[in-house]
Amino acid sequence: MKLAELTSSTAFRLAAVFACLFAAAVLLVFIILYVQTGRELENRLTVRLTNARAQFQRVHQRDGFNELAGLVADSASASGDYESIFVLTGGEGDYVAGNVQGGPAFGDVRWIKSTELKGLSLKVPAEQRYLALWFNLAGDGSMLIGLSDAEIRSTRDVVLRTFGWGLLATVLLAIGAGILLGQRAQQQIDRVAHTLTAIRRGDLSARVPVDGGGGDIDVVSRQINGTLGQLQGLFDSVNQSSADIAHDLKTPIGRLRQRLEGLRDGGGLPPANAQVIDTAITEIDQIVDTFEALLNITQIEAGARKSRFKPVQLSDVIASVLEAYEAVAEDAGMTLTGPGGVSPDKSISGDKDLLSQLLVNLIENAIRHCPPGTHIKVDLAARPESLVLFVADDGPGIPEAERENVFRRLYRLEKSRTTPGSGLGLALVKAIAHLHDAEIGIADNKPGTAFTVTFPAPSAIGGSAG
Amino acid sequence: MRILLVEDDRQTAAYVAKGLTEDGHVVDVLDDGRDGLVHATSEPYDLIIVDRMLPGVDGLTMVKTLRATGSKAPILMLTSLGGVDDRVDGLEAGADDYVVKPFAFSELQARVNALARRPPMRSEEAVLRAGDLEMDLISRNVRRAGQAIDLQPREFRLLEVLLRNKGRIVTRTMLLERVWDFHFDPKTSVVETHISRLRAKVDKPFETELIQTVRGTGYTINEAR
Repeated sequence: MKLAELTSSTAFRLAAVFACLFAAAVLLVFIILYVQTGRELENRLTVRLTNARAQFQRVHQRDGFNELAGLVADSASASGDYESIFVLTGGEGDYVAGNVQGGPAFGDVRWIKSTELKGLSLKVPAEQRYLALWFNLAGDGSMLIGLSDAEIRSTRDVVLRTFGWGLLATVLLAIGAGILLGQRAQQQIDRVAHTLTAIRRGDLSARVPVDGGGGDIDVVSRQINGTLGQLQGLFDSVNQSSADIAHDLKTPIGRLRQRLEGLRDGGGLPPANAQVIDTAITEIDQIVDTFEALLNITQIEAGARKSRFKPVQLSDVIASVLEAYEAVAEDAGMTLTGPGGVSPDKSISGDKDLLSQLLVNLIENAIRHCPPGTHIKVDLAARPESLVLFVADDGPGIPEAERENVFRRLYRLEKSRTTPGSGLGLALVKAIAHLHDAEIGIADNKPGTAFTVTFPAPSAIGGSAG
Repeated sequence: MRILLVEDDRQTAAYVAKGLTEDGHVVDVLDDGRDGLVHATSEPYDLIIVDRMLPGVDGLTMVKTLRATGSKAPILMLTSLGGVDDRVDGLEAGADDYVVKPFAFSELQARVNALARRPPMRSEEAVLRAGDLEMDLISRNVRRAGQAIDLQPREFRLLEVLLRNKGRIVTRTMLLERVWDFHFDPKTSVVETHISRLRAKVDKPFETELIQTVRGTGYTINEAR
């Protein structure tokens, strides 16, 4: 499967949406985790800070200021990494002991930046902050103690890194799953599409394969198969009832014809009566003709003949039909000419017999409805998207309002009611054209009528063989 | 000629059997496909006429089974279904020809005669003759009374079909099928037009007419008498 096809598939798009949703969910979880961890660590730090204050205050009360100064100096030298900071100042605010020289003045617990502290070692990173507080030592001076946020920062780093990898894994997993699901779904959808194409081509027995997994596509496939089964049943019953009607109607008509034929051929009839019988037989044959044409149209419209399609060269069909009809047109006082130059010898997929009949019906339509002297022209044009068959005459033409109607079954123009014909010729032309996925058009030839049959461009079959 | 007719409509069967008997054939009539199959495989028939829709075993299956057992007897199928599909089905099953119901007896008669006397190696004949008319199929020359006649390809084919069936009637429908490969009924006079052109070249300049019209049925070419 190509990438473009993949990314345009519904499943892939769904997977992409889900990947974004998952990523957003992961992001939210991590933000909560990040904030909560920070708060919790800050709370613990606050507890440790107030505990330390209580400890220093106890030493001051019990052992006095000098003892406290000694403890501070010891603590300061123990905290060489500046994890904790201490400043003890005297009554005047002068430095007495501690690992920093001094800091900003403020009241209760707050965060201070390392840059706000005097005499802090340069080794301490600039972004390091301290949770600090000042407290008074009952007239002897005051003390600043602080605890660094190093632990909070390193914890947050871990959280951030975990989040990064987690997000990456989530997105990759979602995309991977999307591609996999997209391909599977696309394959399933392709199977459905292939089946429907086969049906359209006339293979009514084609069914969507069901893998039995019970997935939603299986459910849809089963429903499609059910519908196709009904469709096939319908077609079969159309064909069967056509066959039954043909049999049940033709048998009595056949008997009638046999009786009349027997009567005529038995001899001994006055010539006038024999002529009446002849006329009756001719009329029976016309009834059968119309009936046969209707059945034929029904069967062609049912589309099952597509399964018999073979590559057909329209130029061959034109050549053989013209060979038969040039003389007929000439006898009717008309001229019939074929494609001027060399016809495009491209094959289409079709039924040669039906395509011959299509062309014959169009030519006969022109011969029967045009006066002597008419010129009938058959042409074939290859266009990038289509192959167009033209049958044009310079006869009286068809009024614009009537043009679409001429393809209707049993429809005949008012003025042609007196000429023989069943009114099914053009309906058959239309049915044959549609069977070949061709569009039939009718236009003003100024003067006359131009019929066009536009076949879809020849695909892979045949190509420009010949 | 011994003919087996398998047709379930009694009246049609009787009518066809009567006509063929009058023509001098011996006709056995059956109305069931299974019986037909049994008879067709056990008796040596010169021709078998089968209706497509039969009780027991239908016509198509009967023909397929017959061909599968190696029977080479010519088979003519009668069918109510005139569609090209149905014709192809019949021919693919192994029938040699078909007639669509309802038919004129003369149409059936012409096809029976064409099938029954089909020369076994038709394609080997190189020169066809009727009276003083000579048709060389290899050099594609046509001469009458020593005079060369120039024919269009379809006129040549038309004359060839008539000559191959010399002495027998060839119907209009048979000509449409065999000369133009048209398996439908044109509404214009395609056959008549081309016959008249052929006559203008083959008959008109000469004393006797070889191509005869059989009214309401078709044409035939006979030895000039």
